[in-house]
Amino acid sequence: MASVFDQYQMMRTHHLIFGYRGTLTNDLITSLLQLSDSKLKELKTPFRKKKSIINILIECLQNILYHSESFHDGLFSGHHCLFLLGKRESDYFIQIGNFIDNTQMTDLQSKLDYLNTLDSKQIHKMYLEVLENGIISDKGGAGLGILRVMKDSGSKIQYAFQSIDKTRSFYCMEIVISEQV
Amino acid sequence: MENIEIEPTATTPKISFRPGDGYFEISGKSLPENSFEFYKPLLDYIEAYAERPETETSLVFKLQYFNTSSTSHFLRMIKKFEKIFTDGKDAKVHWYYDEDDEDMKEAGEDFKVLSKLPIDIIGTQVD
Repeated sequence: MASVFDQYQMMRTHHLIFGYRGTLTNDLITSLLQLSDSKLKELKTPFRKKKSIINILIECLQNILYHSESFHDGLFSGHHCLFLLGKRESDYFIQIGNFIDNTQMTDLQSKLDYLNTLDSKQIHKMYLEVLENGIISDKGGAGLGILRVMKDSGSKIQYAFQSIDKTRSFYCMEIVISEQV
Repeated sequence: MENIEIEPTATTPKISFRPGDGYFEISGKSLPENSFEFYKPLLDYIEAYAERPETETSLVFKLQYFNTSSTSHFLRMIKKFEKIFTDGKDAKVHWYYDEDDEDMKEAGEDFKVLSKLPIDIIGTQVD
């Protein structure tokens, strides 16, 4: 039973508000959004920041459900993910992970590296361009979802790929919702 | 044309389209699982309305949350009403937002940048 306390201490040490590991469905996303909303209200999170966090969660969780690799893990098969919401001092953070096919890795990496070189005005400009034209030609594509995540967070996306086997990797992302948001 | 009234769900907005009054309202949350499936029939309906519009047309948004795939459909919708306006009829967007919700205000401003259709951005107080 000591491990339960260890888990509790681990969540506390890592400043976690709550987390979820498992498969995603649309109903589950709705529940996770509701839970996030009530936890953020409980923490008296300023409206603007709360809105940005929920917007980011919508895009990230729906992206996993619609675009991640579905696979069988023990009892469950589906779109597996790990999702953690936390707060370090005044900054909130979202850590999110899902399985991706290794063939997508290089493209995703170059996209994120490029987007991370842009400032918030450039991100907004690109967001409008993609919204209007559906595609963006300059230096590769970027989806509206990831641009909105960057626009709403006001910070760069930190990411890593953990190799699982020859075909799959675990894609981890941390989004910090900065103080200015 | 028949009116369209669709009740809201946890992921789809309330739709109230009354073409006889030139009134088209979308309110609540728009996070549909398949936004194309949800919005395509509405876009087709608006296209048919745009063939013979009323003297005045209002497209009213009163949203709380939306995903980016909904945003693309909102822009398509606005573009269809823009055609009514550029053809010389009175058409306008009324974009309502909660005064605390700067994000929703900015979303309205984004559409203003992307459209010739007049867009009124209106702050309201929500309890």
